[in-house]
Amino acid sequence: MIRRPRSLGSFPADAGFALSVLLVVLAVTAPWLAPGDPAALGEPGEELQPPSARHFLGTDQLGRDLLARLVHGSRVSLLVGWVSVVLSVLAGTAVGVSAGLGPRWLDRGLMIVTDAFLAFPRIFVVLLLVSLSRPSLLLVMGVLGLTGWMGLARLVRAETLSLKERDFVQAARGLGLSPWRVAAVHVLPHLTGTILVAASLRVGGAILAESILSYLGLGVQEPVVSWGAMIQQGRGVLLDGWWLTTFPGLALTLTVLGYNLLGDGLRARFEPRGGRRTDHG
Amino acid sequence: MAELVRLEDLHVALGRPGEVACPVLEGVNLTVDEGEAVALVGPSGCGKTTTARALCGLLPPGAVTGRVMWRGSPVGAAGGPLWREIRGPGLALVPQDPAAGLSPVLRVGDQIAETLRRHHRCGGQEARRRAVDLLAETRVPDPEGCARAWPHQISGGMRQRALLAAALACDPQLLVADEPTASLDPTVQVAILRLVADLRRERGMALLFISHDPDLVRLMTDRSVTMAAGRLAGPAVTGEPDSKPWPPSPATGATALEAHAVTVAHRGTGEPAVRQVDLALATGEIVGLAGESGCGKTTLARTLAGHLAPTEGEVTVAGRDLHALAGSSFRRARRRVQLLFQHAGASLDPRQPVAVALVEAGALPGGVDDLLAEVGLPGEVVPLLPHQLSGGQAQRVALARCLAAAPDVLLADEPTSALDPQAAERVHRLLARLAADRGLALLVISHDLPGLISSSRRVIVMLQGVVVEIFPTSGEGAPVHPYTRNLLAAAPSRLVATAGLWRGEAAAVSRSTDTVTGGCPHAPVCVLANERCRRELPVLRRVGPGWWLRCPELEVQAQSQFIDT
Repeated sequence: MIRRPRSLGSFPADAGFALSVLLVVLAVTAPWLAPGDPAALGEPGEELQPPSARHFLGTDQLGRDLLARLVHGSRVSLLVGWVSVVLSVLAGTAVGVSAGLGPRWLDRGLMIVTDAFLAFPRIFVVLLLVSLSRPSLLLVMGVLGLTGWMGLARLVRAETLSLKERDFVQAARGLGLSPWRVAAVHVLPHLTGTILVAASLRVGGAILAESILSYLGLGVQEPVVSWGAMIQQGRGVLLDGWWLTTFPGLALTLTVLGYNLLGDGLRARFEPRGGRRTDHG
Repeated sequence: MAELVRLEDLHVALGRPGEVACPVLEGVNLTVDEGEAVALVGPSGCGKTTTARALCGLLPPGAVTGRVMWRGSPVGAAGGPLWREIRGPGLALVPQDPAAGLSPVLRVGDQIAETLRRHHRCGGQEARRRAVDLLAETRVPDPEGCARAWPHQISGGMRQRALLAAALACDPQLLVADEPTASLDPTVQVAILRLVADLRRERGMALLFISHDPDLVRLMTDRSVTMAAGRLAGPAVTGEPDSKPWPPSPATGATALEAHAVTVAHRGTGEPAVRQVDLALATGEIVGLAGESGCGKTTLARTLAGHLAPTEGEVTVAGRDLHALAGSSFRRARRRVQLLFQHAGASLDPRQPVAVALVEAGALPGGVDDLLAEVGLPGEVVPLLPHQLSGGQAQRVALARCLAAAPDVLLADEPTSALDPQAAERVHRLLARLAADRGLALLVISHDLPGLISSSRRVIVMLQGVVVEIFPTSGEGAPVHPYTRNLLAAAPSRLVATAGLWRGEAAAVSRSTDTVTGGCPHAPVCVLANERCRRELPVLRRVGPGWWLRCPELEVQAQSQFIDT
C-alpha cells in the first residue's frame, strides 16, 4: 500500500480537508485578502453591478463589493460554527458519558432531559430565545450550542454503553481503577472518532443554522457581515441581481460539503488498525 | 479433481499507516481441489489465520501481494466485485474468535438470514425459517430461541455454532474453518466436527481446516500442510514438550476467597445462570472448574471478580463481603481478585501500549521488564499495542497485568482453550509456577476435564449453573457423578480412539437440552434419575475427604471408596 502520511486516505476526504483548511485561511486572513472594506459604499452608479473585472463577484444594492463581503462573512460563519459545536460537544459528551457510565437513576434522568430537549423543534427554541433579547453574535453561538448537544449525547451514551461491556473496560474496572480514570483513559479516547466525526458534521449544520437566523434577521446585525444576511439582502432582487444570492449560497454549500467530507475522512483516520472499520478492538 | 482455489506466492505485510509494515506471510503457495480436505497446521502466530483471511479476501488490499486464483482465474484485490460472488456460495469462513465474529447489533437469526437473502434472494420469512433450520443442524438446543437472541445473550459455544450455521447457509464449495472448535467443550466439538464431516461427504464440499490438534487433523482431512513463521514448512515440527515435572502442590494456606450460596440471574431473562454455588479458594492452591460451554463458568468467575453482582449469596474476599462494599473500599477489595479473561486480547485497551497498561495496573515503571520476564515475554513487547501482539503474547500481557495488581486470587477463564497442546501445556506450567511463587489462589476454568485433573488439586464440576461434584485429584477414588464421567469419556483423544462414537452409533453424546427449573440438571438424561431428583435439586453432600457430591443415588458408592482408607 502506498502510504501518504499527510493524507486522510481518499480523494473526497482530502477534498473536504482542503476545503476546511481553505476556509480557515480565508477567515483568518480576511482583512488582508479581501479587496477593500466590506462596508465601504461604492461610487454612485456602482450599485447592483454584475460580476466584472473591477468587482469579481459584482456589487450589492449599496455598491459594496460582494467578494469583500463574502470573504469577511466567512469569519462569522466559521466562528459561529466552531464555537457552537464546541459548546454542544462539551455538553453532549459530558451528558452522554455520565449517562453511560453513571448509576441507572442518573442515566434515566439525563435521558429524560435529553428527550425533553429533543421534543422541541430546534429552530423554534432558537427563534424564541433569540427574539426574546437583542440579537448578537454571542447569543447566536450560545443558543445554537445549547440546542445542538442532544443528538451527540445520545450517540456518546450508546457508544459508552457498548464500550462499558467490552472486556478491556471490564478489566480496567477489575483493576480497581476509579470510575473517573476508567472514563478518562479507557472510554473517552475510544469516543474521539465518534465525537470528531459528529462534530465536523455538525459544524456544517451550525453554519447553516446561523445563516437561517441571519436570513430571518435574527442573527448578526449590520455592519457585521454573514452569508445568511447576504442572502437575505439579495432576496428582493433575485432576478435582477442573481449574484447576490448565488455566491453566498455557493459558499455555504461548499463549506457544509467540506465539513461533511472532512467528517467522513476523520472517521477513517481515527479508527485504530489503519482506518479500517472492524469489530476487533 | 479440478482445482478450486490456489494461492500463488502470497506475501502479506501488516502494519499501521505511516509505519513500516511487518511481514506476516512470505511466499505462501497453497492449492485446494474440489471436495478435498486440507489441514493447515503450525504453532500459534505462524500465519495460519492470516492465510485463511487472505484466501477469503479479508485483508487490506495494499497488504497483499501475490495472487488468489478461484477455479483457475484470478480474483483480484480484496473488496472487488468478484469477491462478493465467491464469498457465500463459493467459500465461507468460520472464524476462530466467536466473540468478534457476530455483529452485536443484529439478532443471531437475522445475521444468518442476511447471508441467505443476499445470495439466494429468498424472502425474509423463508430466510428466517432456514436460519432456524441451520441452527438446529448445528445442534443448537433451542434453535428458535437462539435465532431470536442477541449475540451477547448466548454463550461462546452457541456463538461458534451460529457462525458455523451462517457459513453453511449458502452451501459453500469450500469451507475455511479457522480452529472452529478450539473454544468449545469436547462434546460439542465432536458434534460439530462430525457435522462438518457429514456435510462434506453429502455436498462434496472442500475444507481448509486450521487446527493444532493432530488427532482432529487426521480425522478431518486428506492431507496437511505445515506452516512455520509465515512460510509453508516441510513435515510437521512437533514441539519438544518441556520435560520438567509439575511443581508439587504447595501446602495450602489461608482462605483467600469464599463464595456462599451464590446465585446469579441473567439480567434479561431472570433465569439463574449460577445456582447456589459454594466454594473456597486457599492461597497457593490450584482449583479447576470444569463444565460444558454455557454452564455458568464464566458468569461465576465474573461474579467472583466483582464484575457481576450475585442475586443471592455473598462473595467473601479477605473476610469481607465484596458486594456489600462500595466506592474505594470495593475497588481495593476487587483488586485482590484478578480475572484473566477468556479472550485476553479483548481485555487489553487497544490504545494502550503494553508498558502503559502494566504501570496503570500497579507495576512500578522500573519493574515492567521483570513482570514481563515473569510471564515469559521479552522486553521488546513493551512499546507494542495489543493488535501487534500474537494471541499468546496478548494472553501473557493480560496475565502480567493481573499480577501487577498483586492479587491474592487469580481466576483464569479458559486460558488454554485457543492454544495448541504444547502452548497450553506451557501456560498451565506458567500458571502453576506463579501460583506457587506468589502464593496465589488459582482457579482455572476449562472444559478440558482431564487437563484440569492433571494440573489442579481439586476440581469443581458444574452443570447448568449447579456444582454437581467437587473432587480432589491427588487422593483415592475416581469421580462418580454420571455427568463428570460423561465429560471424562468425551475427551477428544478418547473419542477419536472410540471409532464407534465418531461414526455416530448410538446417542453417544448425551446432552441435556431442556432447561431444568427445579430438579437436578442432569436428571433429563440421567439413568439414575428418580421422581425426587427430577422435582427438587439434591443437596451437595460431603462423601469423603475434600469430596462433595450432588447425587443421592451415588453417595453410598462414593463413600465406599473411602471405607478402607
